[in-house]
Amino acid sequence: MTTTSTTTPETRHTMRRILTGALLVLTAALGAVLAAAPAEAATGTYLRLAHLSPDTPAVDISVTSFTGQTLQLDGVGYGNVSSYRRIEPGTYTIQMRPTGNPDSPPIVSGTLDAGAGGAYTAAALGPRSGLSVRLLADDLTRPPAHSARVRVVQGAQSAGAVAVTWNAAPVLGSVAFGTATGYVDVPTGSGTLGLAPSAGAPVQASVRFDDGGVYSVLVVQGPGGLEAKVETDALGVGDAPVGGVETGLGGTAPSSPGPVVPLAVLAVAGAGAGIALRIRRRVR
Amino acid sequence: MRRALVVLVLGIVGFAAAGCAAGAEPAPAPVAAAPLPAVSPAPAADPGHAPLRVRIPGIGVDSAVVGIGVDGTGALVPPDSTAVTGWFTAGPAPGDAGPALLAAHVDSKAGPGVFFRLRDLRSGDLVEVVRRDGSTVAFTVDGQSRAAKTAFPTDLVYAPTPGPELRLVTCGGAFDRKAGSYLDNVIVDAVPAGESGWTLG
Repeated sequence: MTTTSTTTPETRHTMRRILTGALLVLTAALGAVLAAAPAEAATGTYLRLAHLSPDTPAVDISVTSFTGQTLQLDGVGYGNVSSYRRIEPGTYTIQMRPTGNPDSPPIVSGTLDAGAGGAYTAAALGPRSGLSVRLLADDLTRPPAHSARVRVVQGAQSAGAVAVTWNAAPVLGSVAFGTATGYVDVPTGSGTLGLAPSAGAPVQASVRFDDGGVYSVLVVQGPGGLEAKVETDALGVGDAPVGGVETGLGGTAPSSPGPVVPLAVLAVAGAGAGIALRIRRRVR
Repeated sequence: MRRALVVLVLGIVGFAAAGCAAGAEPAPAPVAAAPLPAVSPAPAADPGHAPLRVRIPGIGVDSAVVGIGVDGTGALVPPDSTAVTGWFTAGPAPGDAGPALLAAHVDSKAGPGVFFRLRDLRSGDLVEVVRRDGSTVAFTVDGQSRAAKTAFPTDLVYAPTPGPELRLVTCGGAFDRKAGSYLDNVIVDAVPAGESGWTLG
């Protein structure tokens, strides 16, 4: 590597000053570029669809991006929750029509602004007379150690308001029909989820919440009474490793002057020196 | 002045050499691989989903996969060999919901490791994982980042995900000769290849 070939003996004072300045500026600039690498780990963007309006017939759901692409899920009845699918980040119009009537006007619609790396649930919520598409942001941040995160979406009109317990401990109180709560942290493991409605008989369900998991408890009215549908929003890692990973022993680390940065700096600085020389010669 | 310039140039070159060089001081021997965690708090995974091989055609990777875990300090212990890839067994398996983590060396003391060219991966590149049950799950690269190990983005890398996602991790950045360690980690994110339709449960 000949890094100083352009610094010939006849170089002059002015040129040296320019070269020195160029070296310092370029070194600083390259350092800034290298340090600017982002430290984020991106993920996919996700959407799922749900029907939680007990007196609304089954619907066909179309999700249309502003670029014109339409995603479709047909025959979504009360109590149905879809899987997640990955979507491109962006803005979408969500329309729900009576099943099998693609030409009818939507009975309800909404707009989703899907941010990159986010997860969303679009739920038909409330009574038929006041139906809306609720666009719920699903929380994908890491729950605290040995915890899971749980929210409740109340889709059972007959139940009135519902109080929720986890292993007999209160989790959420008085969740009104047609609403969704925020997430709360709960201890993990197998246990009993209790629903106590303001109208009707309480019910219990055996559930397991895993460390680092995120869940939605959907309250629906079934033929036999109140039901809790526990949906997994996301699964994580209970005890994540601490810090980074030692996955290199240095055998390929440059042992001579780093080939990229110094060469680039000196090459550009050398070019600068040549220009300076030429200018000086012309001036004479 | 000319002498000053030469000193400056040599100084910069010398600094760069010291910042990247390896081998003058012996790197500390790698910690022995931790035994697989005896009790996993993570969801009981299907043992058939355990990864056996990872293939990344774009960078010439076709590697066996072994289980890895954490040491007494909670740090992830990489595979003993720089010729195999480690799967963090306390997390999800590749293809199961959640962030599955595969880590492999960028190099040994002698030359390139399995993930030597991880930093060359670009969005859309294919990553295939062969599992114990014979199934192959395909992912495509979604993005890449580099972070100082001292500021490793644990909350992002291990954050819950609605579907299967993959994290590929190796070393990068400058090599700290005294510590025998690269300063950074390179992290590649991948999501399942192809369209994922909605299904009703």
